[in-house]
Amino acid sequence: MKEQTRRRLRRCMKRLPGDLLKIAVVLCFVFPFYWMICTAFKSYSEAIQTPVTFWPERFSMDGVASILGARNVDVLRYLRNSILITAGTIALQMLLLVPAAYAFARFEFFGKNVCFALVLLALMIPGQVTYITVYLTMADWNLLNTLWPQILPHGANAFGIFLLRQGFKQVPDEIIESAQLDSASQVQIILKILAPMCKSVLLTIMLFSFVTTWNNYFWPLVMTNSEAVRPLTMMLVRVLDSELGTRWNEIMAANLLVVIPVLAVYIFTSGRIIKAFTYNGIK
Amino acid sequence: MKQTKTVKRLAAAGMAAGVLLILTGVLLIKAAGLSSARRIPLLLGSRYLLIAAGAALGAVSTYFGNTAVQGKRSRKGFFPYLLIAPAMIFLIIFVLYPILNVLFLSFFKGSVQNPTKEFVGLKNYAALGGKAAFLTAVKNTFFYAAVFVLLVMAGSLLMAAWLSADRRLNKFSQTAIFTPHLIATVSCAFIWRWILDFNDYGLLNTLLSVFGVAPIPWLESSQTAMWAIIAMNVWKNIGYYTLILIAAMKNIPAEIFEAATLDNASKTKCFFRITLPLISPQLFVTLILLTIGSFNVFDSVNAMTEGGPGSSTEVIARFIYLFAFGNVNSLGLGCAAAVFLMFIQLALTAVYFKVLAGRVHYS
Repeated sequence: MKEQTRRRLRRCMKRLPGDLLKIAVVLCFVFPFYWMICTAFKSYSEAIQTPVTFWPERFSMDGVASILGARNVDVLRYLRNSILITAGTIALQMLLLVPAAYAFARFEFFGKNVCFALVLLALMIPGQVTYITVYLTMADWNLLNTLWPQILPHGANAFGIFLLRQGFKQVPDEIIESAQLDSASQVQIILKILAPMCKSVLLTIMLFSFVTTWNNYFWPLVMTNSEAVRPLTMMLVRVLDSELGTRWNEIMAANLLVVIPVLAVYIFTSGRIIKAFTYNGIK
Repeated sequence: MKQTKTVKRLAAAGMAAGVLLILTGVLLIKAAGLSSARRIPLLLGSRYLLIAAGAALGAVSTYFGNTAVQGKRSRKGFFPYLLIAPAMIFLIIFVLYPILNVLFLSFFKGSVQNPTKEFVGLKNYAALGGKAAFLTAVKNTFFYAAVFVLLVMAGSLLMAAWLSADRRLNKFSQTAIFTPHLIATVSCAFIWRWILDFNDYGLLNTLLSVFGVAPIPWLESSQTAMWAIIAMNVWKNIGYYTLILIAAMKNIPAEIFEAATLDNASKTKCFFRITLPLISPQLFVTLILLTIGSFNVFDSVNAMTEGGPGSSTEVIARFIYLFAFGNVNSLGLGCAAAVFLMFIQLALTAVYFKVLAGRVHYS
């Protein structure tokens, strides 16, 4: 054997046990999802049978069918709510965050530090504390039976302000100054220079908001009183309480509906989501 | 210039005074429903005046303060305030005001319809101390937080060291262990609930029976329920923190490691003497975020055990949820618990800063 091949083989062999362990660990991590998909497409009797089958013997759409056709669970409504809430939150955040981050990044003004401290406070104080007052406020404004209580409170996304401010700060001064020399208005500066240059950061923030809002459970739970305005995550709990008892294949089928959109976006944006969540300029 | 410094200081003081005036005015408006307040009509009548005075003082302070800060090279005058106003309004309405209001309401005994029915001072906090449900919740939450933070920090450090090299296998592994983080906590909770199921042949018990182990009621036994919840949350979060630490590790210049290998340093020595200190800023921030976040645990508990069996998995967030709007006339109690939660998180952050800030190495 050639020396190079022998060396390569030796390296492979040395790494083999470590690599096998890695693959085993990864499989353990991902297995629950596989099990979810597996169970979703089994019939109820097969789902609870022993010995356990790791692949549906009889591919069954029972679970999916009963979810979609359930009398007291209006799946389309939940889906519509989730989509509207998520889209609304992202849109509102873009409107609020971009000007604020611009101000923090490129202006000096009295009270700037106090305002920034407020942003930091928003990062630290959880919804589990603020929801009490926000609920009372929403009740006072008569908004409780709408989707607004789930959109408005998340408008000022502190995390987003941080990231965007950093992004705007990194735009070279010369570009902005030359634009000002060409007497560009402030709005033009934002829209035509800063935003396009920071497209990556903006996308990052949007992805982060999408995942956080889509997966939110606590906030819809405490802000809504009627099923008509609840999102998909709350549908899961409803399914569990359905009159048929805990039919796991149905629950897993419902889970698919909550999980698949996020996974789809994850695969589609190939790794950008990871960058979104770990985009930490913290030093 | 000395002049601008004095102006700035005066403006800051004026701003603070203005805010105080507005707060007092708002407080008086809220307390107007109390019978005892009616005995001081002058104070009541002045509440709007207080707010107006506060606002005026604030505006004047802002004007002078801003002119002083921006100096002659006018950084666009008052335009920044226009930019920042929408976000600040939202933050004030949905973050600052709620914090103050929850604190305020914790001194009252009330309900959703009438939050300030009766002023009880610190009685709510005293009641918390005597309430078994609350004490259990606090004990459980601290237990959860301690174990969770420990497992995630140690685990993600190990994983980060293990998966940081630039190989395709590592990249794939990183993506795989990050996936649970993207999935809703309730979804993860239900999947685990199914795997840990005791009655309907959940997978774990079925697999254990192959080895002759009797089925264990993971979520139905008070000894194992909390551990199951911790395990699920560790599984869900470890990928995220691993990736943060890997990103931090990648920032360490390669020359340092090359120099270390030249000096024949072992891998473990490299890790403890080089890697750890150089990623300590990120470790510090991660630790703080982890700890604060762990005290908010709610979704997984609600979806997996709803506080049971008995009250072995009741947590503070659930206590607040059950008492704020759940029971009659316990809004004040729920608010007191919420204040307590805030206090713990702030106190722990302060402790971290005091104890660990000195050991964080900045390059």
